[in-house]
Amino acid sequence: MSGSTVAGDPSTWAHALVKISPYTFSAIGIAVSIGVSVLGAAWGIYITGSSLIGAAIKAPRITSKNLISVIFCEAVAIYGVIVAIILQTKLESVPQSLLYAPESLRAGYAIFASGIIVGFANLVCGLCVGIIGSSCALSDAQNSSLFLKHRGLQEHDIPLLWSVGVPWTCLPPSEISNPFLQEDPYVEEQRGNMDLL
Amino acid sequence: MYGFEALTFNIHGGYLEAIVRGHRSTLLTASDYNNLCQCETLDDIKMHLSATEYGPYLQNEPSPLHTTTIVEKCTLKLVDEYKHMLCQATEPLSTFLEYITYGHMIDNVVLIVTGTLHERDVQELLEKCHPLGMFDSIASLAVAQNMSELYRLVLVDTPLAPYFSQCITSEDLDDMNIEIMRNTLYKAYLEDFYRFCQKLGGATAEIMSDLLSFEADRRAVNITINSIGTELTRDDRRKLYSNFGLLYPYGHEELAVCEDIDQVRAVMEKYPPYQSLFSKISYGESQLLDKAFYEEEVKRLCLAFEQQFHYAVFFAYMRLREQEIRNLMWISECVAQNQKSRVHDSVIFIF
Repeated sequence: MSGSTVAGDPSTWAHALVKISPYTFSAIGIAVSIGVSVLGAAWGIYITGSSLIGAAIKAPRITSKNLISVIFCEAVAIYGVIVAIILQTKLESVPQSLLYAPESLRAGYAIFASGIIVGFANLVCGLCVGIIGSSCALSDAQNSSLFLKHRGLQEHDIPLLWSVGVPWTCLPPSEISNPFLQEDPYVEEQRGNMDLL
Repeated sequence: MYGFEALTFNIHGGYLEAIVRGHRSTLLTASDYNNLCQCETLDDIKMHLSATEYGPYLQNEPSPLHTTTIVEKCTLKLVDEYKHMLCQATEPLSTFLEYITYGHMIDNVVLIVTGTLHERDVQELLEKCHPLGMFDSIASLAVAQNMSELYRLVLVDTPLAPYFSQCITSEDLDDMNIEIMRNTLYKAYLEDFYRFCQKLGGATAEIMSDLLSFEADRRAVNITINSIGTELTRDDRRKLYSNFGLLYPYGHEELAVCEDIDQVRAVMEKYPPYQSLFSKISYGESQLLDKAFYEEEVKRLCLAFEQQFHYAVFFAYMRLREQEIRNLMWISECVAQNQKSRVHDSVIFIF
């Protein structure tokens, strides 16, 4: 089945959307995954960094401990990079006839969705970690018993779970018919022939 | 957008907010005040203060010390910190920081004009001015004979110019008019500051409107109490009250007709935040009212530090430092005059 029978009448918006190459969607998804994650991480780092520098003037002892806020923000960017790398390994070349097959379209949309989820989740995560880091640096400067030691669970493990684990579940599993991973039909026929031998 | 300031405040204000919070952590604590209250001489005070942040400012003073020297050096420290922050600030924080000093400017102007009226030397008056409120042409205030000259010659170039539109008369300056001028200027300044904070919006507007309302109400009460028994008419008194605050407008109507302190107390007790204040003072006493107002002010200023990402921390810090300098002055005076028993009458602990 081709995309045009899926969407029906050639002059509708649905038809236009379906005719966008799934490579476009995948590429946008991968780009958003890494780009917006890094935006979130950078935003968070500047929020926490400006407060940290100012507070460290009167209380230099806080710098080494509060670097952990910056590290957590950075980790958010790394998640975005990891997912982008994973997503781009899912891209394979596909013969022109199968480009608009429903399986290809689904794979393209899946990569797009994964990328968007990761990107925007990391944006918000980076922001939140940055704001918490700023407050934590300022309160640590006043009173060192106020430094939060248990942020590791909140700021590292949960973002890891959501921003990497959730897109993982959206990705098409490799065993089932993912046309991106399907061989050329000519080669498959040959292999089928070889099995019979 | 209220609630989302955390996203963008730190671009321009993050560093300075962290610095002002660092300064706040160096305010003298109750244990410092206890040590200071037990000092016998001014040199003991200097020794105790040298262990705090005031050390570098006091260490080069030769003994015998005077109380005015101690206060001057401590004020110098505040001025240095303020100037450092003002240099680093961008708009709108720099305008906000400048607004904080206009009150001192008004006080300086009134000081010089009054001093000139009483035939004092200009140089001597300039030394008594508060350093935060200095501006370039302040010395030429001594030349003016009446208010319109004052405005035309000197004040039109200062930031106080817009506040003068309400009080330019051609009358000659005398004590009564000068006080009225001071209060009219201060009223215009408070209203302007209030409008500016409302324009800034967000947490700054909310916290500053609370602090400025308290200031406006406090001034209204002080004006009422100080003008009981003088020839200030009710309408004139009414005109000196600011147009915002908890007491506006009904409380002002009632305060304008008060003739003694008990009537003032009756008016204020209708407002819950001030009722608790007035309940601490027994009937007929007004000396403790000042202290009660200062304590309430300090409490509200400390609460301003509880929230992050707004400008009111700068205002609160400046006011708390000024309160600390007042405390130090009181302690030094008590020690210098050997009245140690009265030391705790007027010292307000900040933390």
